[in-house]
Amino acid sequence: MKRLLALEFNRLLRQTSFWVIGILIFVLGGFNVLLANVTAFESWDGTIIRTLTARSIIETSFQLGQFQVLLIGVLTSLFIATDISQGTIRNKLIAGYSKFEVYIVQMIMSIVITMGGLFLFHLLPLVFIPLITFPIGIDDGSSLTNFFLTIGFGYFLVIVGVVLTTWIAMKAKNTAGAIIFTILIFVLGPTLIVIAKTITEALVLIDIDQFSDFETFEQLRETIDGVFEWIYFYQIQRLNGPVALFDLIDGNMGFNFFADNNQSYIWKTLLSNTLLLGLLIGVGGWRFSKSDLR
Amino acid sequence: MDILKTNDLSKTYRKTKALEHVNLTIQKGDIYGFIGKNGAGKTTLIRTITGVAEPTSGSFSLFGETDPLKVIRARKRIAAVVESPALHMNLSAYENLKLQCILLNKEKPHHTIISNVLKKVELESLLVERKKKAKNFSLGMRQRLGIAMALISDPEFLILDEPNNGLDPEGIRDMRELLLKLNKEEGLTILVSSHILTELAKLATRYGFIDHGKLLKEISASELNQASRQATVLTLSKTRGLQSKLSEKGLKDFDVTETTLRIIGTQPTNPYMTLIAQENIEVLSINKEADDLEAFFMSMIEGGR
Repeated sequence: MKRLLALEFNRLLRQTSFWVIGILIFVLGGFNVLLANVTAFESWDGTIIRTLTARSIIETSFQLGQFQVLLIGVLTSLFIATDISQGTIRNKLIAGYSKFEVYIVQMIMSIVITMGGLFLFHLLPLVFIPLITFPIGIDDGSSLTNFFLTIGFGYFLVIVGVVLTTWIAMKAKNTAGAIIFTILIFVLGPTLIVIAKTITEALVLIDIDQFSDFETFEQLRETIDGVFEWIYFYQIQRLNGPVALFDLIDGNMGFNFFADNNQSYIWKTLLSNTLLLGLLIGVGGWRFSKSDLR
Repeated sequence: MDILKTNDLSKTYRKTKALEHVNLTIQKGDIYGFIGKNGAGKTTLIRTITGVAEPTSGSFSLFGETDPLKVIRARKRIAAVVESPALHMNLSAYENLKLQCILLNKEKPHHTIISNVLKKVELESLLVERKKKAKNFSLGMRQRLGIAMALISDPEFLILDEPNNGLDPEGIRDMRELLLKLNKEEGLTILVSSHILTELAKLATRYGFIDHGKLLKEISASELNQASRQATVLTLSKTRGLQSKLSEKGLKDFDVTETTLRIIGTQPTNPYMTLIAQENIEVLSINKEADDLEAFFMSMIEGGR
């Protein structure tokens, strides 16, 4: 597996798309920090803050972070699907590696790419931009631990999203298909969920005569709403990357990863996403090892 | 020693039976010509051996290994070009070969290994044109680069699927000479699938004929020569009335055209020559002919043998 990883890193560094998208993410990250600084916020104690804060970074990430996650998804799809569509994945099998090993290495690479995105978008600009423009100050009642835990939580969701993209890219078996699916999921994911919800409601609830009373009808409608809401808030949010962190902002006034009212959301999201990650890696890998390649 | 042995190997794609109970054996030192029409199952068999596709049923042994995990590791001893060469199109030949060195854990310096292998396939010019990307190569150059990538691993068993695709006549000749050299000098066992039978006939030491997913026959080159239908062809000054006179003499296995008499098989030619002399027919030429590989293959798939 060490050789496979070495090969993949060498291949990644030779991809033009890696450098182009990497630079783009870094520029976006820099712009994000600048935007965070120029945005004025009323602090939790009523004072106006005109400095970089954890909250302002998260707030501006809502606008740019989504684009960053999409770029990471596209880069990952491109990197993995090209290997399959050009047939170079066959070289790895002939070199004595199993399909499962190849699959796991691709998953590791997608996680590495995501972490690289985090570094370029959040950490590197945070280190460099304040050095040349203004000082960084986490002064909205949040500690750095709180800040990095929140960011880390957001990126865990992104990793699951990108692993999902990788799984699709491995199944799509051609570059165009993988990119289209990635964009569909990342950009249209929430819209598709709403469409799916509407269609489900239409199919299940259309025949109102089947219900003995209105209360049963309402209960079923609420159940459907609940299922889709759960999918939307605990699953689809990850596709928006840092946008998912919005749920950790307490009353839109500062955020706290450790706040009691955030714990339910955090644990449900962590649990469901860990489960999905396990399924994508374990079951996905097993299925891939039994499948035929191009 | 058997390098590859398949045991009732079958592969089904939905309702299509691509391979049906194939039992094939390739021995050390063979140049195995794998012959079949398009869609006969040649590539499917190669894809299954190389791990690209999974068999539906049956099994195979590679270097004597039958356990699936050991077969995966045994693939380190093979090299293959399946369908089209597997190249990173946005990278140069040098970078492609360098990545292959990394994958195969080749000791540094990689430059020496790359130079040697490029010399082997007569692509030394690519050492100079280091920046030319694989996507800008001709089909023939890609094919050679694919073989160069395969040879980096110093394989014991080389599998080539239609290696002459895209090669010009000179390239085809060079490929043949390279394969013969690798077989003779380095003892490489080779499986070549092709539908260019004249080319295979100059190369293979054993043949396997496949049609509709079924292996029809395996035969060595010497057995093929013996089994081939032979004939003696005489070009004559005239042939009018010859057919009936030969038949009157009780002779059967012959064909007469306007200018030729074809004596089929290895029967004695004396009765024919005597009659020709009696009839004052001049013999303009005498030739021996035998069925070629193509005729043999056609008779195989038509169920003639």
